[in-house]
Amino acid sequence: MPDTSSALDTIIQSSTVDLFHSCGIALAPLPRKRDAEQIPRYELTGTISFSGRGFTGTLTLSVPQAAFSLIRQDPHRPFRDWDWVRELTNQLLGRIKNRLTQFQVSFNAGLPSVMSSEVFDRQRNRAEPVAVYRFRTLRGEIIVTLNGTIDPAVFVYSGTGNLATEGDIILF
Amino acid sequence: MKKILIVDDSETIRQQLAAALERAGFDVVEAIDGIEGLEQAQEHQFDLAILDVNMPRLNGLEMLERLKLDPKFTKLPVLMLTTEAQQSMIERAKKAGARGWMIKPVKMDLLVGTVSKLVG
Repeated sequence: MPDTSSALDTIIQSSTVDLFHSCGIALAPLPRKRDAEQIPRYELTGTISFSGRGFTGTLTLSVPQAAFSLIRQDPHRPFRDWDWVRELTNQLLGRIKNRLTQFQVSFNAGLPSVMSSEVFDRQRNRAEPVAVYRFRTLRGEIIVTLNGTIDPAVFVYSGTGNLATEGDIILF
Repeated sequence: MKKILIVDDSETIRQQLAAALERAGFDVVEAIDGIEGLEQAQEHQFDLAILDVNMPRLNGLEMLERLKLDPKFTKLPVLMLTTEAQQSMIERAKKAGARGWMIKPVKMDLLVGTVSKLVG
């Protein structure tokens, strides 16, 4: 049976890399840290809560302003950076949720939002993140943090995932 | 020109979908949540609706269920667009009368092809 902590690390890292790849941004995962001391301050941080048995907390996604220029987008209809980060945070948690199905972990996701660097700092001072994941891009580092309660006992590997994955269209 | 309703609280997603569908010759109307989506549905004559699931005020599944209670919308094809792949949610959408379930991020050519097929 896979180790819970390393399985969760792999799921979060691969979900983040795949998600940014779908936007045309290449990411390289950096060694993971369990403390928040070295997290750079960014203006754009998306946050989303999740709640389930043994898996409750928040996920944050911080993106440097410079990385925004790397997104593949229609020049005639440019995205608003804050809305893009908010939506990516939502999609990141969705990917993680779908991949955790194989461990029989289920939870409900909240609505994503964007917080200022001041709010992010306050939140970080209240509680240390469970884990901090860093990724290098051509324009700075992307940071993902996981905060809350993760009980390894709820991870039961079943080997069966969802029938559908990202990008699929199921017609009824 | 076939008219499509896009309901998503993310402006980024609405823009992506609208750009792809307009390029393919569809007329697009956008709404930011389920409440506004229901209002738009009453105001226009749509050929298809695309609904996000996770939205404030009224989510996409609730909007679908309310929409399908009105006999006027029984035949309106509805596609759900979401990050969720949970079987119970897919079943709920199917039971409520949705025609399909799409998991973000969806490839635009695939989306346009599906929409074209459903609106005939």
